[in-house]
Amino acid sequence: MTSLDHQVLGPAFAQTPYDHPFRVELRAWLAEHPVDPEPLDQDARFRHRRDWHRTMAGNGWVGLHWPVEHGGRGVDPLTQFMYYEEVALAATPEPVNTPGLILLGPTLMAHGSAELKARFLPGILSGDEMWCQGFSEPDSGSDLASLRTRAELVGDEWIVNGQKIWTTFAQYADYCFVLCRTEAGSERHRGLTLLICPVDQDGVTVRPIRQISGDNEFSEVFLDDARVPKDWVVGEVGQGWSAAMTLFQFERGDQGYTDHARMLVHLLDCEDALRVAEADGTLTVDRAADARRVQRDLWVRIQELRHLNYRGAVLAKAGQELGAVGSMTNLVWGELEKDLGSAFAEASGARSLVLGRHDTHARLASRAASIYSGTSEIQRNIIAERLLGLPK
Amino acid sequence: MITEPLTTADELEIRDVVVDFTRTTFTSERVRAAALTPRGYDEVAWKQMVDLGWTGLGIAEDVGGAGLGAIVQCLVHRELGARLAPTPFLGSAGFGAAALDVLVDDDEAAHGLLAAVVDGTVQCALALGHGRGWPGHESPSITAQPVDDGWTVTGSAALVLDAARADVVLVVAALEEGGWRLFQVAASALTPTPVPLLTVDVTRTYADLLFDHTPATPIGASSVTSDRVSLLVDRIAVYLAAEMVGVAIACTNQTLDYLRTRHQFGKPLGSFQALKHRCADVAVAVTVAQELVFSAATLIEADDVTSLALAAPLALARAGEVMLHATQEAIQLHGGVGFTDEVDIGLYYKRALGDLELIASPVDAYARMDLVRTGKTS
Repeated sequence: MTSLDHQVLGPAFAQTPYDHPFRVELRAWLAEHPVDPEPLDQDARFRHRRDWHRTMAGNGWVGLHWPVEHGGRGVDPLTQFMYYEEVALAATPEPVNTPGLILLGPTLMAHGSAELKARFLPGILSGDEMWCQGFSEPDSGSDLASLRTRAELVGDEWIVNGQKIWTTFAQYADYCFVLCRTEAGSERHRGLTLLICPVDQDGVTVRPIRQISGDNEFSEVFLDDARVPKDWVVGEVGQGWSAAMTLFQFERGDQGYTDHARMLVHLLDCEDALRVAEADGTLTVDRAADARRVQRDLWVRIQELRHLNYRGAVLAKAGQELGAVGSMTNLVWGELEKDLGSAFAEASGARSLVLGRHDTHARLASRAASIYSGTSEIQRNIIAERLLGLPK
Repeated sequence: MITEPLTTADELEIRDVVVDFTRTTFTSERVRAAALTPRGYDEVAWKQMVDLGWTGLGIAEDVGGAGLGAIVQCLVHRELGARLAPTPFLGSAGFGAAALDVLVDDDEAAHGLLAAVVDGTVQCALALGHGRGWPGHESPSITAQPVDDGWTVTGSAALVLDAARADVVLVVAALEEGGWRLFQVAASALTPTPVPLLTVDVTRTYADLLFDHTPATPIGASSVTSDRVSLLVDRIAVYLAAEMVGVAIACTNQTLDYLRTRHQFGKPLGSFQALKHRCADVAVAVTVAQELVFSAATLIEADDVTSLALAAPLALARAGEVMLHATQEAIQLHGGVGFTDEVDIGLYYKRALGDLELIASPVDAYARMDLVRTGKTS
């Protein structure tokens, strides 16, 4: 008998069966804690996500991969894989504070002082303090090492000047981890330092960037004599590149985990929308047939992403390098997310032109997916040159 | 490809041995020469494979196999596919052995036949009496009739893999009262004698089989349901999909080698971004298809029939699509030589065309997957 799990998620994997005790425990908790669907308005959506984060954190369901000494459960990547599938199946709000949870937190654990760990890790986990990432600059995107934001130690404070861009959810953040140049005249990877900069101060101006979807998920962050306490340095002064590389490893290690299950649940909505649109005549028979074919292809492609994520979890559990899987996942995920957004809109035909609808919004918002975490074209270059050994 | 789904030290060690043998044995010259022999395959290499125990790798130990399971079985199919090895391995040690294993519970005849497949004394082929794909609502193409002193089977099967030179044809035939039963038919009992079909794929032999009240011996004491036959198709679909992945990997690697070495406009072809991106897309598709296939093999080992019912048609369909795409891209990316018979790329493309027809086309496999997913299989 095919169960609902199989219908929605697909075939089980040997190491993450649908009756795994971890799934059973989490399902029971989720069943007792129903949550409203996400609102469309971005500010309301963020608050909704943050509130849910706090509810989960209060019950020990956030940061499961963090070590027990820092408030996590120290679970392995396969358990995390199940975690993400289960929270998606329950249609919970998307995670917030991922720059803190996935990137800065683990990097602090690896490079941070005891004082910084004690000061910042609890707030990341609880969701009481929100984080954003200050790496990219207007002239330093893919070529991060060319960054020009600089910091100078004056007394017991760093004075930071420069501009960051594409900073996700900076307008909601309490802290920004800023990669900046602390040695005057240094070049490339040398002389960089990773600082923790409070956002709520006169020297920091956040200017959200309006997207074609109407959202303002990304911001420009202007640093004009922004002040950072002297000791709020992640790792050593001048060793910021090393800290950043550690951080990127965590980013690559996590890429995409959350999304296949969320996509599969989303695809169910698309399938429902298509049935309605076909029944009420919104779509012609031909258009509905085409939409059905597209939706089936999407199910297959999400299964592929799911298998890549599973492979990534198996490799991570074995302590292996995930770089290769990361580039593939990125490419597969970005292209898929766009096509899923379009399919969601297509299932309702002309209605998806009307503002205020999730499908209208999803189609526009998804266009960013193959750009913001490294364009598909860059990913293909990386795959061809680094993984397939084609000449530069 | 980019990832290797084999993980344990044992699997990797077996892989290295298999790769070493297939690389040195199934050279382009030998593969092409074998196609011209009367039997249509490399008899010397086939005997060596039997002697090395490959025919028993995935078969249980109590019938003379090594009991290493479906992942190792798939790895052999993959590597043989990668070399376009002209042997009856897929038809006999793959499809035939799977039928004996899946359709028959505890039966001495089945055990004896399995042991003979393992030790190479019998080469068998599998004829499915429901037609192609998974059993559905169509009328069966082969039926069984009880007669005074036993059974006969009647019907036909088109393009049966490795059947032209088989000693025994295993026939899954429909019973009058419903259900299915596995029979063995001696090749000598077939009239007319099957003749090898000339197809585009010279590395394979196929034959059309006709049964007209042909004497047949039942294997196993009882009939089986359509679900059990579906399970058999799931199993052999995964084996075939593993071969497909091998075909795709090998022709992609040959293409990458060519792009690294061939120069035009003063630089290697592989440095042109338009070609790089096509290679990246093929490599990712092949890598992911391989993950689907070996995941399905894991489900065979775990005996998770519910998940396998979904995973097997998914793996077959996607591996088939990707293999076809990879072989077509290989021709294009080779440029002029790609469509000549001087390089082996064309052989891979033609193997792909054959493999796509063996069990179910991607379209039909996806249709099966949809039925399973929506619970409409019965």
